[in-house]
Amino acid sequence: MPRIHDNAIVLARHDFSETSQVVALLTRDHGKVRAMAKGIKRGTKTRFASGMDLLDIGHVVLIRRVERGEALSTLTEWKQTRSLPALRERLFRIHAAQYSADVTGRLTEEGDPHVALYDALVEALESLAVADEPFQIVARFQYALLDSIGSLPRFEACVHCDRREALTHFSSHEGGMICESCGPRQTEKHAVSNATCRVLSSGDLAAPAVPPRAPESENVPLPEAYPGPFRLLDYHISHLMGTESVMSAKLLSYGRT
Amino acid sequence: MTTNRGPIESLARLREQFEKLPGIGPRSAERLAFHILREPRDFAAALSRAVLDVKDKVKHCRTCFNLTENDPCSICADPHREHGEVWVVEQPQDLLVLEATGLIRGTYHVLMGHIAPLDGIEPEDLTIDALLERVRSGSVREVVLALNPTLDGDGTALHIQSLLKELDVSVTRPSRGLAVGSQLEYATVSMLDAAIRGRSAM
Ligand SMILES: [Zn+2]
Ligand SMILES: [Zn+2]
Repeated sequence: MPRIHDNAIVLARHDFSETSQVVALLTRDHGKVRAMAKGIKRGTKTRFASGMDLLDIGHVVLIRRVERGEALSTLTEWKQTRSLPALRERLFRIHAAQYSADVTGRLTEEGDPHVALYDALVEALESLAVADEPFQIVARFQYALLDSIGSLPRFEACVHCDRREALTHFSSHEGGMICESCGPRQTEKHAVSNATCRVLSSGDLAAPAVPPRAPESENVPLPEAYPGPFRLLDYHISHLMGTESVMSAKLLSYGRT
Repeated sequence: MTTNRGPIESLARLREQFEKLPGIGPRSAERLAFHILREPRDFAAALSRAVLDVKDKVKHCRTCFNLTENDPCSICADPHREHGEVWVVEQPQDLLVLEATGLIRGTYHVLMGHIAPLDGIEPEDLTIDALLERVRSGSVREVVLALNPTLDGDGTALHIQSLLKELDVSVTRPSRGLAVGSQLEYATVSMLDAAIRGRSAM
């Protein structure tokens, strides 16, 4: 049976027995993998150099079961390679990380690798660990996720008439923006503010992360503009998942209390 | 669907019950069932009585939610304990681990789990309201959040801390002597000792 060495992020873990867990991993080169981790809870086995927690980043050795549907692999080695203790110091950071893990787990297929998605999730977790607000980082991640799975909507022009201005709505069903003239005949739609529209069509979310920009440059969205893009991308992601992530509402309550 | 249990129906039934226990596979279940069959009747009677007593007599302490046969539990009822100091833990097993160190003079509060939104466990599923009530009653001056150092444990601690912020109580956590992602239950005594003595304000 093939033995796999890869980098991985823990998306979910569930107790299987007193000592074992079933974990869902996003591996860098082998996509999402579900694996049985025998004896990992006691942390007595040396091949599990450390305990395995939700959203931990590390190196795994897996024995892949014959690839037929939802097969369960066996985790034989685990070593955490990146520790982000600051991720756990603020509740919104934890919620943002849990949101990212949840939507990743639900929108990816097992054994379908997306290197860019893995890298985007690592970048999101590292950024969240020092973040003062969640929305900008999570919106970038949502964008990368949709791009990776081939479900990125069209943001720069109306999906019906190609018009590039007066984009007032978004339709998940149509896969993009709707202009004010086409809006009335579209039933499934989500109102989009000017600021949100500008961020999404600018390509900023796809560009490499940059430190906060100089305030004199115009048209550059301030971090305050990011709940909008987050909310819109979450609307689309919920449409694709057929349900909303339980983490959406928790994340959106950030800053309101 | 009815399962064919073979000629010795009662033995098969006992084996099936054992198989439902954690860590017991079919082979062990069979061994246990045969063991009971060989032992005198008194042994089987004592075993079944002990099993039922656990279900009938053990309840949760109304103050701290620890498992007990008497309400309040022996810790809550002990006048020599420091009642102004409350150690918040996830499970009764965690309480036993801390209590075994002999270092805790305060009392406890068992949450009965941790918040895990992705698993559908929300704050209202735990005993957080009862903890707030205890603190509001005025006698508590320090709450030590001794949850497991996991992502969910840390999230639960931050949630409780935000609720306690408005109340007149100091909130601390045991020091980070425990490996992140590990469970209190499996910590060594020296790790616990360091973590308990070196607690810090949140
Ligand atoms: Zn149009
Ligand atoms: Zn009690």
